[in-house]
Amino acid sequence: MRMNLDDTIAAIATPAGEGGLGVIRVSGPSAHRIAAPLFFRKGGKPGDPLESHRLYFGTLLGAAGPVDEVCVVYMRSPRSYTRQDMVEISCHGSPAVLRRALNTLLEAGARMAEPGEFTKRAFLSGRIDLSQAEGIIDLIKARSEGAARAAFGLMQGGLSQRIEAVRQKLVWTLSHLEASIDFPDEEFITATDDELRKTLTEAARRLDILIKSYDGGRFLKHGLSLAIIGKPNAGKSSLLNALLEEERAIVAEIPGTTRDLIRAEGELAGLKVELIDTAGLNPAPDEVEAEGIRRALKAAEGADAVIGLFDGARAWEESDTKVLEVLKKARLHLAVINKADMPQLIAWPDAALAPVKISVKEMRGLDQLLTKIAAFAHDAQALNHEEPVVTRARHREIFCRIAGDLRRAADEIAAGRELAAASVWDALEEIKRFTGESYTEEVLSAIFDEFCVGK
Amino acid sequence: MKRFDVIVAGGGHAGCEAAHAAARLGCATAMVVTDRLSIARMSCNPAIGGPGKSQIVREIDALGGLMARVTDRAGLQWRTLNGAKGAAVRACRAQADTIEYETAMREELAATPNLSIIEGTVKDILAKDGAVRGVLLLSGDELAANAVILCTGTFLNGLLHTGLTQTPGGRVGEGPSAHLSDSLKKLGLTLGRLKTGTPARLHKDSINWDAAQEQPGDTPPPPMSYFTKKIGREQLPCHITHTNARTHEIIRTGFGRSPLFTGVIQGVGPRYCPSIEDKVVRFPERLSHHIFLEPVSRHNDEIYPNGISTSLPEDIQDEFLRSIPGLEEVKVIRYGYAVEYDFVPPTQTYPTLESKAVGGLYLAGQINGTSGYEEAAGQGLLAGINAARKVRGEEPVILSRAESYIGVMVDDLTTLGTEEPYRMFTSRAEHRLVMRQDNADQRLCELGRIIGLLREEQYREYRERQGRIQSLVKRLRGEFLNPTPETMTLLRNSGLPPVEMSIGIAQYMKRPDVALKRDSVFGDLAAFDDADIERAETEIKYEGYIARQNRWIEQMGKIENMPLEKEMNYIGISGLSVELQQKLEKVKPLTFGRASRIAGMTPAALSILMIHLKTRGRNV
Ligand SMILES: Cc1cc2nc3c(=O)[nH]c(=O)nc-3n(C[C@H](O)[C@H](O)[C@H](O)COP(=O)(O)OP(=O)(O)OC[C@H]3O[C@@H](n4cnc5c(N)ncnc54)[C@H](O)[C@@H]3O)c2cc1C
Ligand SMILES: Nc1nc2c(ncn2[C@@H]2O[C@H](COP(=O)(O)OP(=O)(O)OP(=O)(O)O)[C@@H](O)[C@H]2O)c(=O)[nH]1
Ligand SMILES: [Mg+2]
Repeated sequence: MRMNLDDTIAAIATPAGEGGLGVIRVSGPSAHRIAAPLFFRKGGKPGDPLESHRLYFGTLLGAAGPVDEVCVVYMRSPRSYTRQDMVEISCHGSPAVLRRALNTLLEAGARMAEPGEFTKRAFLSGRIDLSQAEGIIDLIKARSEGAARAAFGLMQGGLSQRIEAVRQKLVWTLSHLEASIDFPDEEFITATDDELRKTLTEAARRLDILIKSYDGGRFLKHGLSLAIIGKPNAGKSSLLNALLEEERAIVAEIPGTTRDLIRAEGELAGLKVELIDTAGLNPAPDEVEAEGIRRALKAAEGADAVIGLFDGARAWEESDTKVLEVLKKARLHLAVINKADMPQLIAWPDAALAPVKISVKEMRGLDQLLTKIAAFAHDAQALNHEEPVVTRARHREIFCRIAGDLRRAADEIAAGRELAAASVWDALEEIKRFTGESYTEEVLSAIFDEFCVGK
Repeated sequence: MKRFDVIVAGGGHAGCEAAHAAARLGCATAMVVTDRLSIARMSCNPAIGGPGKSQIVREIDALGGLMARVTDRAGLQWRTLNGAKGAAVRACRAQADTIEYETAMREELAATPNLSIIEGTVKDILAKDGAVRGVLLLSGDELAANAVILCTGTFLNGLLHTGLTQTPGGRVGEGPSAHLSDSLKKLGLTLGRLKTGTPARLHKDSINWDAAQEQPGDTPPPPMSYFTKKIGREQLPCHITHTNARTHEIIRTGFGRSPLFTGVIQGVGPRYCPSIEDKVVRFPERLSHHIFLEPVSRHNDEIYPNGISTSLPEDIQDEFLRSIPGLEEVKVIRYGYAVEYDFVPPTQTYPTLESKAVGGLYLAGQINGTSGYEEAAGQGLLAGINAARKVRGEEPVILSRAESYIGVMVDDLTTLGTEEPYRMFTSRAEHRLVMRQDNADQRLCELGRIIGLLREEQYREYRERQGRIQSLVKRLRGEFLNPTPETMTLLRNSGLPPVEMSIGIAQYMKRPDVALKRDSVFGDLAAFDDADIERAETEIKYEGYIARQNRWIEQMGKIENMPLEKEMNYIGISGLSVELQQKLEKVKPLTFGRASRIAGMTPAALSILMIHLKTRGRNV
């Protein structure tokens, strides 16, 4: 991984393939010196200096003549993405044109950028902290509205701000701990043990909230896998089709229609979801069905969440008991009674678990079902868009360690303020890891390797 | 012309340690001091030690220096501060009999081989080709040396202020060092200006002692030195009284004639040791401040009122003092004053305390921007050691932040510099739990012996103590407590909490309400003295923390100790901001760890530095 900032890098910033536009980015101390002579603006001559933050139209010149008609913008340091001098060139989005344009820049002295190198420069130059860099990757890779929203919050420093608030509390606590140690004879009035304990546990609680949002955050980022189980003919395949708004699975009156797992991706309530339709849990299966049921049970075990689908038009049966049992083993689960349009023969046996009633046929109750699915991902506070969500395991681990340090510090105050202080110092070190104020090469590599070239 | 190996200019707390160390390490050493009788004078409060400072004094002791030993010979009261808190922040503080202290120190120096004391004032540093050659005295005499250590304290262009009256001087009754500043500037060093102050001295018999609260020393008195067996002398008490709203009102009436508030004083004062007028302004909500009335000596009638340092006019000083309970009739022996003086911003010196501009020229003590006797003495010792080693062609000694407070101080000073008089605090040390005043011997006695300052018999004593402590710790770790009726009775009788089930003694000792006591469940402790027992208890109680900090130190060690060249040129390293280039150029850090602590240093900048070094290494 490269760490130097002195050479000038260039890369194609738009995705491979044809497109209306393709953008080439250049960043580094020589960005202007390299790019300006290659640009022949209307009414000017090649090499004319470019004013910062102004869009120019003209021709990009290669060694073998004009390459393309382009728009060029020069962003003078520090007002740019990387805080270095940058030039962005918008060409026509042909892979061949872009390659020629890039080669022209490389021949003029730029170096081909590595994946994520632009963003790494933004981090190394101190424009963004590490968590914001992570937000940028997540934003680029976001595949659903929810993921995009969480990533945008991270990029904007939403989590950083929360942690900064915690940091300030810790600095306050530390100043009191240290003052009472270093000035034992003087009359500095420091906070009481109780006040300090309260501040520490309060800060730990704030971290708990963030930590708790991780499950939801993870679903936001990676999507949620959702298995539908139920006895034959309950309407599982119909539900899958209805949720996806496409005829993905075969629906038939014959029980045992679905024999194997059917996986399908879609976006539900702003959330990327992988739906898994399964074979009905037939109490007396044939050989093929038996294998299907085995797979169904395995899918239910592996999924993030499970829907147990029950047939409202039929009485409770042994196979329903089995479904309910499997369902309740899943940490996130939802009981759903289908066919609400028909006379209801089902007697719901579990008072502790309220089922959602729907009719796929008449498309009733589906909104309510969607809200419940969305709630898997956004727990109560995450639904409130102002609250940041933790989407990365790295952050969750750091926050867990900080919360642990703070709880320990609260316990230690009685035993000795110097011990509590040591734990608070530890917590502050962890915060530095979160923001990237202190980092190791491995951590940086792991993060920036996720990027694509040009970002 | 007389020739020496090492010349020490100044006989303050830095100068004494420096001269003693250099001479004991076999160098022909001269201490040049304006007035022989001012050697080891305490310019301000008559106390040694306190949080952060007692650790330094113990470190000096473990390395073979003088301060702790002299304090125990010349003290008049000893106390442990933070006694109720944990061992890491416990601190010993001794009231010194300032007259006895000076005498005892003079005796120590007189008994030091290779050391001559020369009365005179250094006027000029002689240097040639970037290396020091000797000094020129005011008398016109020249002394030649291979190393010169400047320990001139507050004397460089010193200016005393009381009200709007100004007197040139290094401290009351002593003239300033007027020429040395120019000499340093000529050698290419930059100077800054700082300020500090001291309160009036009061006549003992004019104080109504009944109005003040007595504060006795601890019994038995806790010695400062590891090698003091027992302090046999009777202790004197201190007393506490307070300022009040009326005092503060009177102080305010003097602001118009305060050199501090009228802008006469330009130097920056210590934030943590403010004058009383500063406190009145900065804490308007406080209607009262503590004053400790401390005896200055058994042999005179002076009382030092700690907490009311001031440079207000004399009439205001008289008036506000008399508003304080117990001081209604007080007679002032000497009025308080502030002193402004030049210092050499310490980023101009290496962590060996050798100046970057002139080889063989060392700086130690208040001249480096510190405040306090202990800080001065710690630097003096290090400078003395390094000057001697340089003369003898040996590798310099650099103390790390992970092994000593002296290391923390010198690292802070030489990498960060200081904007105000620098005072030691325990919070400056990130490894506080492993760097305690009770284990400075364990941290530094080996080094003291290798350097050659620690005496053989002291080293032997240290090894024996270490052996005793380790055996006790080992024994305690191996034993268990069972809740038998006898054990429960023993616990109850010694005021210790009961045990519910069988538990390792070490585990039991980690509870906050358990102390290692004699005549209880901890077995026969007759072979161990109180200090051994306290150390063993601390080792066990802090075990987890110590392990944690040691892990951290180890992790950091990798980057911490990666060397940077002394001659490295930082200007023009692309990717580094001009500001950082200049800072690095000024500090010339010797390791990456030190570079990382320079203000404004970012991880990115460090990485750039690392790359720069690697690529450069490939080219040569
Ligand atoms: C007014 C005042 C108030 C203070 N208040 C505080 C306080 O509140 N808290 C605190 O911690 N510390 C305080 N101090 C500081 C404390 O006294 C010093 O930090 C400590 O004494 C410094 O030790 P030193 O060895 O560096 O210098 P000093 O103790 O100042 O000794 C300097 C020595 O150098 C000699 N000397 C100077 N110039 C020459 C020369 N050219 N040639 C030969 N000899 C020379 C002097 O005679 C003297 O012996 C105060 C000092 C003063 C003067
Ligand atoms: N009345 C009514 N019929 C429904 C509803 N949902 C599904 N059905 C019908 O129920 C029958 C079974 O539907 P499927 O979706 O194939 O059921 P399944 O659970 O996938 O069945 P297997 O794959 O055999 O396990 C079909 O004839 C559907 O049209 C509903 O809400 N109301
Ligand atoms: Mg089906």
